[in-house]
Amino acid sequence: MTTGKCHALLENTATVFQLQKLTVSYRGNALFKEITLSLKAGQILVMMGPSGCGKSTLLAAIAGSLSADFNIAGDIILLRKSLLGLPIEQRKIGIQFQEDLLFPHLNVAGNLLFALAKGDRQQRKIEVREALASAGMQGFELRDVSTLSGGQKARVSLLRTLLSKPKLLLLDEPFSRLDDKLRQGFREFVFAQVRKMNIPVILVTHNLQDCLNQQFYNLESGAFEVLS
Amino acid sequence: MNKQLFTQKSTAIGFKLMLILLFVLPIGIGLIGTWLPALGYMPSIGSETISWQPLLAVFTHPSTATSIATSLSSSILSTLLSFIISQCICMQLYQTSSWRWLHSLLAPLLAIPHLAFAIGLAFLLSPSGWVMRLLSPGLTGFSIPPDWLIVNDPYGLSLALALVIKEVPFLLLMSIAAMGSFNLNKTLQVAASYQYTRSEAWLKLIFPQMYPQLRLPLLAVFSYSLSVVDLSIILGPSAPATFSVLVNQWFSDADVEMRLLGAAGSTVLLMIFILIAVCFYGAEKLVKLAAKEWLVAGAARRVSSHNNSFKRLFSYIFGGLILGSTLLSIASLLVWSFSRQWRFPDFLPNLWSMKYWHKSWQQLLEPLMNTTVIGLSSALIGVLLTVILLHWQSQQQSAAPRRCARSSSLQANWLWIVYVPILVPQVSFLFGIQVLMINLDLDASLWGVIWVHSLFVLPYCYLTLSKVFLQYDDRYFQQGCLLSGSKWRGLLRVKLPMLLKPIAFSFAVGFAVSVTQYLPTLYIGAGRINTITLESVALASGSDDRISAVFALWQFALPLLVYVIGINLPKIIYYHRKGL
Repeated sequence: MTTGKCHALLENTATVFQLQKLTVSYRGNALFKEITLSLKAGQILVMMGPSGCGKSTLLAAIAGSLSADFNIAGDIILLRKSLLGLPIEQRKIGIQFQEDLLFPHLNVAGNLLFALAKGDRQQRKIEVREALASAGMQGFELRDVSTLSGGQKARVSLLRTLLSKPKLLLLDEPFSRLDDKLRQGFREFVFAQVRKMNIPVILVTHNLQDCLNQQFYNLESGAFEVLS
Repeated sequence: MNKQLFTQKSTAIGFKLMLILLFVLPIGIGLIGTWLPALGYMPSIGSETISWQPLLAVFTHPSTATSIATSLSSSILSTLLSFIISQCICMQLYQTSSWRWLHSLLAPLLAIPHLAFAIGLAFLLSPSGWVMRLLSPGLTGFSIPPDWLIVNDPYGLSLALALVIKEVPFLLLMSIAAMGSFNLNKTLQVAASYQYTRSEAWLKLIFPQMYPQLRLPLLAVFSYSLSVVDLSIILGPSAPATFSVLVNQWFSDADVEMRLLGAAGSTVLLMIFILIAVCFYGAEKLVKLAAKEWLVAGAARRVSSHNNSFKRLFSYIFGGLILGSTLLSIASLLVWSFSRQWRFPDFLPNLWSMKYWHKSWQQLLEPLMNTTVIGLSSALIGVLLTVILLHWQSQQQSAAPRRCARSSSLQANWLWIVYVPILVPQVSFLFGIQVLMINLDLDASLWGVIWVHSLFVLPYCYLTLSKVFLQYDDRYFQQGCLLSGSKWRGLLRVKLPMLLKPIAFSFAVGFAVSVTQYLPTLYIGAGRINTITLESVALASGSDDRISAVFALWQFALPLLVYVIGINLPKIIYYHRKGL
């Protein structure tokens, strides 16, 4: 994980996503310390901090859903293009919330197809089938989403986000609604899927167990920390 | 254990029986009491043979075909238009700075009675109205009002216009309630991250989730537009009138034989309503089927910001027109009521006076008293029954915490029962109730009118109170019971005082609903119980416009006054209590 500007410059070739001197302020008050960091393809950044330290604000700033009352300084760069000023639908960012937000009027396949880009009907169906198979959910296409178990809902929801082929994935406490047993399995599922996609990921969490490589970015202190 | 389960089940059955008793039974009796004469059976006028004769007579009557056509076209047009406009406004203005504005404007717009608004709109649009005065003589060259049929046009367009303006705020209110039932903001965000534009996301995700909750309100709007009598008398065509007015004319004919024709006509109206309701449902299924592929076909890749701002402008214009025409209608009532002499192309009267306010006073006293007494009593009955029903319902829910999800879906399945008195066209069952009242010797009595008003007040009280009542944290009530040692004290001294604000608002809504009732008062009051609404309709179809304006303003002011009191009284009582 790169922490300083020097490192970022050295590994510039593989850098996909960058935050450059980013701060977000509300009525003149900065919500967290200035952040500069870069992420390579397939890299997972774990972000922690006490509640109210601005985690969701940072995610909203990156995703583009922040209301106009907030002021953003610095720059957010994805694939060499600044994201500032772009609406959400042009940022190519996937967001995964703690709620599954599956659309109740569509079945499992409908939910997944919804996120897929327009294209050949047969091809899209195959993609959905393969995605479900990768989650161990073969044959679930026609199921009503409200009949799925909690773990199945979480997996379908993540598959849906991934099928929209984002260039950056934001995970906003995606495991916090699941109980311990499901949590472990779903976490492994997420990390495996993300590795396959080979995109950078920012994971906001409260749980120390979610930390890969025992390392995380502490938004409150504005520095990387290592689990002792 | 078993016994407990049994009692719980039996109270659930008791509750449903109570709902049926209050919401369905009176309407059912009224319907049967109308269907029998429609089939020729009405012993009181000496007709005792069952036959198709009255129903056939409806179809051979020379006015029937045209008036059914006008009724259908104006009601379907106004229902569809108000639905489309309300959905466009939601889609375009949600999350904009105007949304808050719109939200706070809804209540005052809804508080204006249909009738007062319609009388004002007739003043505004008539050949001698403000719109024509503004254009004359400069643009039109008229120095005397033209001989045009703008209001009361043969196609029922002015009627449809008034209905659209009044129903859009109602459907907006219902849409806002539906929007609160799922996570709208995050759904939009997720869709945007899949590269959907806002409009597409709304059509594919938000609207399909809202529609199931809009189905009943939409049908209620259609039923009202199809069967409304007072508005049709003011704005609708006259020769022939809309079908509901025609049926009403048959009922009030001096020849008692015509009652059979009236009963048959109102039954035909009910059948038309059911037929169209089935068509609505069929159309929904068809659209669902047709949209199945499109719904999941992926985001359309086009970025059109121009198009978007154009659509938004459209919504602003619609919203502005609705607000503007409502304000202007009330303003024209005011100006007319204070005018003495007003020459045609002049924008304002030459002579102002209070004469017509003074003149109306003696004529006003009795209807004003009746309206107030009937309104207060029926609102009281409506709120009392609602509180009993909802308290019962909430106790049942808290008694079965595990089956919480099931009991709430149960409520959704039973919600249509509450809508029955609003959905069934009034013309189609009031005659039966009138016959019943005559048999009970309650016709033309204040009690009879109060009872029949509370039939229509009750659903509105229930709909305005149910959400807060069922979401109320019943542990406060349980604490109250434990501390005071009595369920009654827990209810009267803890739960109800905490819910005073919504209860007072619901009372005001009930009062307003009662004030605006036309047909129920006319039928059960048998012409002897006079109210502001009855008087306004009678005056608007003849005599002096200025007196008519005064009465329409009273019809507008009375519910408004109760709203203001109902909203502010709890604030005054709990002035030092920030937690409420």
